Amino acid sequence: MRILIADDEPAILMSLDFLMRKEGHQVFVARDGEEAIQLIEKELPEVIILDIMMPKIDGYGVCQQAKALKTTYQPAVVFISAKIAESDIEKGYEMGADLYIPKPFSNRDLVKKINELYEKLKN
Amino acid sequence: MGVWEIAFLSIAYLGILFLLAFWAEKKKAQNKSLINNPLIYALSLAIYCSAWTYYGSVGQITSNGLSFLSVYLGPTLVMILAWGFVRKMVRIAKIHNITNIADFISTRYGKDSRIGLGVTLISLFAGIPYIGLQLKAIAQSFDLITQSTPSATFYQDPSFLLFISLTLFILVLGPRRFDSSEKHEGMIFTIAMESIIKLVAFLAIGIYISYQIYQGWEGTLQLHTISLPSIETNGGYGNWFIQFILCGIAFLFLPRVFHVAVVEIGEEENLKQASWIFPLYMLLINIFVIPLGIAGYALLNSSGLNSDLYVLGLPIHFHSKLLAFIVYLGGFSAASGMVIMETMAISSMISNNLIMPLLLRQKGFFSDNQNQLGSINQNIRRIMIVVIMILGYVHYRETESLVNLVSVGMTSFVIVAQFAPATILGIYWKKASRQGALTGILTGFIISAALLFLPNLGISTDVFRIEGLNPVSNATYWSITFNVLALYAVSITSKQNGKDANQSYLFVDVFEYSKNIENSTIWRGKARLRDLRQALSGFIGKINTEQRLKQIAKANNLSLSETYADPILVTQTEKILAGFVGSTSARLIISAISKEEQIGMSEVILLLQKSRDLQASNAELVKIDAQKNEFLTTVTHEIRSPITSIRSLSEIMVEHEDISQEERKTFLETIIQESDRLSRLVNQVLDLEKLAAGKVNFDMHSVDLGAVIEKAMMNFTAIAQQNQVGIQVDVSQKRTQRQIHGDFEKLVQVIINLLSNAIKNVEPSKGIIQVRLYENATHICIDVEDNGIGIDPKYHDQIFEKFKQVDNPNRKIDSSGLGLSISKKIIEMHQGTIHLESSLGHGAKFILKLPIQKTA
Repeated sequence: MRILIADDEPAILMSLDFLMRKEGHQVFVARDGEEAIQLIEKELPEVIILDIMMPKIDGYGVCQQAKALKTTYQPAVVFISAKIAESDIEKGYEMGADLYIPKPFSNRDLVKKINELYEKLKN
Repeated sequence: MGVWEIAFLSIAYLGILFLLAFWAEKKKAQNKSLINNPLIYALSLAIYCSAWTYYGSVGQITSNGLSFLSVYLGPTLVMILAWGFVRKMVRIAKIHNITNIADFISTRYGKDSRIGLGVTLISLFAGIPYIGLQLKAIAQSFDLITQSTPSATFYQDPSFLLFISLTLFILVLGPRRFDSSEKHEGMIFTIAMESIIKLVAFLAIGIYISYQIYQGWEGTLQLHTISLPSIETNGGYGNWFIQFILCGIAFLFLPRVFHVAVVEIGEEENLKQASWIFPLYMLLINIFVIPLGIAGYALLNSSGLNSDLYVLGLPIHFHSKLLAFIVYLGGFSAASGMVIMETMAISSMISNNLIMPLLLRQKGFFSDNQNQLGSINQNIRRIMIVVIMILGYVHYRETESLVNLVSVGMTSFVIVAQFAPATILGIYWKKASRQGALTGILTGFIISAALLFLPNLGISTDVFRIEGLNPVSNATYWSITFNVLALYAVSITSKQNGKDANQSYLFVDVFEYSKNIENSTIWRGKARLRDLRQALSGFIGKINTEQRLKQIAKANNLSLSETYADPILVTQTEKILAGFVGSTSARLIISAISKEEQIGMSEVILLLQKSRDLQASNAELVKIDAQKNEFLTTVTHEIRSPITSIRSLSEIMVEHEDISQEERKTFLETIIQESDRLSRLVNQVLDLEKLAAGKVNFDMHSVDLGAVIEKAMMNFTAIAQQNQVGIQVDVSQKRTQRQIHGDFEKLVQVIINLLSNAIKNVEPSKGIIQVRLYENATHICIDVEDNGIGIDPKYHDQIFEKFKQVDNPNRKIDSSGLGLSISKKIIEMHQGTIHLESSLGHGAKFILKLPIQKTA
């Protein structure tokens, strides 16, 4: 599976990159929203993991642009954010997220959820 | 038309009005008020146009020319220009539950019963002839349309029947619920309907004469070359101007106008639109006065008809029965509307300020009649209405041919205008005192009455006659001048007592305090709850009493099970009672059931200010709370990021034993960096809180800013190299000549903060940061400039606020969002300033200015 991860925190990017690679996925990383969109257009990853508060274009914007890219391209979007209020999570799903994971997360939990999403996607 | 025909139709008309009133009351009961809107409000204000305007203006044209315009322009301008003043009166009346002008003035002056009584008697004195005038207009128009002559004995006079019907009408619709909080819905609605009828009737005859009989407005004027007395020949502009001012100030103090304008207004907002609807009405009802006057004079003068009846004489002259009846009905509306409201208003004044206080001062009256006070009050009003009507009728019968419509009206105006100084100064000038008001009103009244009536008794007042002024203007001039002078002179020389001064604050600053006045209490004493209950239920019944008390108790968190009532309950009870019996009587009732302690003025003002300040500080607290919440949300968010990576990377190392040495090392280093970041953040939050609370000790010495920069650079070079950012330090005079007074370490911290900011804003490898040190006459300055992305000017103000990392473009300028706030606080502690020059794409320059230490 091809996964794009976008986060402006290098340390978080580092660990997510490692985790997804260990699961055998092909990983692309972006440090801000703009970079993320360029990579999405180029690589068309099946899963997109997004931080919300990012420079240039925020996670919501990236999510919407990705979903509106092509009719044939419907990626799964996962928000991973430190915004953890009930209302933030609701907003995330309203913006089109398939999954919303609050920070800080447990690696095992995160990997499990993303794999489930991947399975669902395949069917 | 026949006598009985017209009599019957007139009474039927009253019957229809009664049904309309009944319907309006019913609508009100269903919560669909018909009168709480600007249109009905403005129409009810047109109660100002009595029979005098309706018949008298036209009658005046040929003798006084355009002087009728002053009657029309005065109130028009008041509504257009002074509606703020009316609004203030409305607000005051609402807060104090005031229902008439006598209560209004006496409440302002410490609820002084003498003032209330004085205003009441003067209003009665001015009102009786005025009511007589309306009855006269009804009778004369009745006689003219029926072509009958008035009977010598009044009970044989058919118009007497109308008088009886009108009295009954007022009694039935009138004193039922005289609490200002429950408006006279039906009565006001009929008044508004009557205003429509009189306007339509007047326009009908105006259009008929001007367009049906003659070819337009100008045609009428041309056909009869009558030269109208011009303003110059009729006393000149001085006269005209004084009359114009007189009508403007008397307008609101006419008891009937005060009642509809101030007491029966639904919402204050109605005033805004009424301020143009009412002038429009006044314009319409005056537009045909001139052609009607000229046509009437040309056609009817020779018949010897009283010029006051031209309006009705014209349709009769042209044998138009229907139009004649419509005109008659319009005149009947104008007269009856005035009589209805005026008797209501004056009867309430007499009851509140004369009879109830007299009764309540009788020993034992209160305790014997506690339970029936409400109905006693109602019956007093009913009796007074009958008495006033009889007095008006007698006045009309006895003085029938003495004076014309206008001069009686003007006389009344001069007398009620005496209330204006005490009212106007009372709500704008705190020093106006009760002695001053009383002296002013009495002086003005005596002077005006003397100048207006002594000549009728054959006593000359020519000594006081100003050259060129007619008697009305002359009386106005002298009486108002001395009224104001007396009010002013006595007010500044006499001392206000506590109550007087209290009320002056409540009136003058009504908009400032209105919320507090309603909620707070300015009474201290002891009253038993049982007595309050009893006093209230005498007026509003047991069930309503319980409801009202419960409402008040609930709104103020009070208990109703105590023996002694809370002062708030007492104050509110007094206010409710004031709506029924006026402030003087309400005061008497409350003092009959309570032991009061005097509160001084300063204490009252303190109480009011305290509750206002409490409100203000409450709002401040809410704001601070919101800021605190925002701060906490941001802090927790900022803390979550490093925790996330620390946790995730640690988990990786626990679970994946197979990672390479190199990766392990990177991960561990990152964990250490993120931990550092976390502790830095915590420290900064604490620093900021300490700075904000003023708990930080500044170690102040003479400081060389060159050394500060050097120290900061020492800490920073490594980081800059890591990020491939070049730092150029341009310290033209490596050491400045002069020094500043400051805390060395804190200033180093500021420079480091600015440098770290700059480093985050520039692109790696291309970034250049310049630091400059220079001095002018008073300050030593440091610039920290980068060539990074810059900051949009619209964010410059908020950049120094906590956590205001400029979110759009989504770039973190300040790593934790706290560095700049801390820097700013530190610089401010040095009496210096920090500001930013930058625009998007052109780098950012922070400029520090610190005052040079004065060398001793």
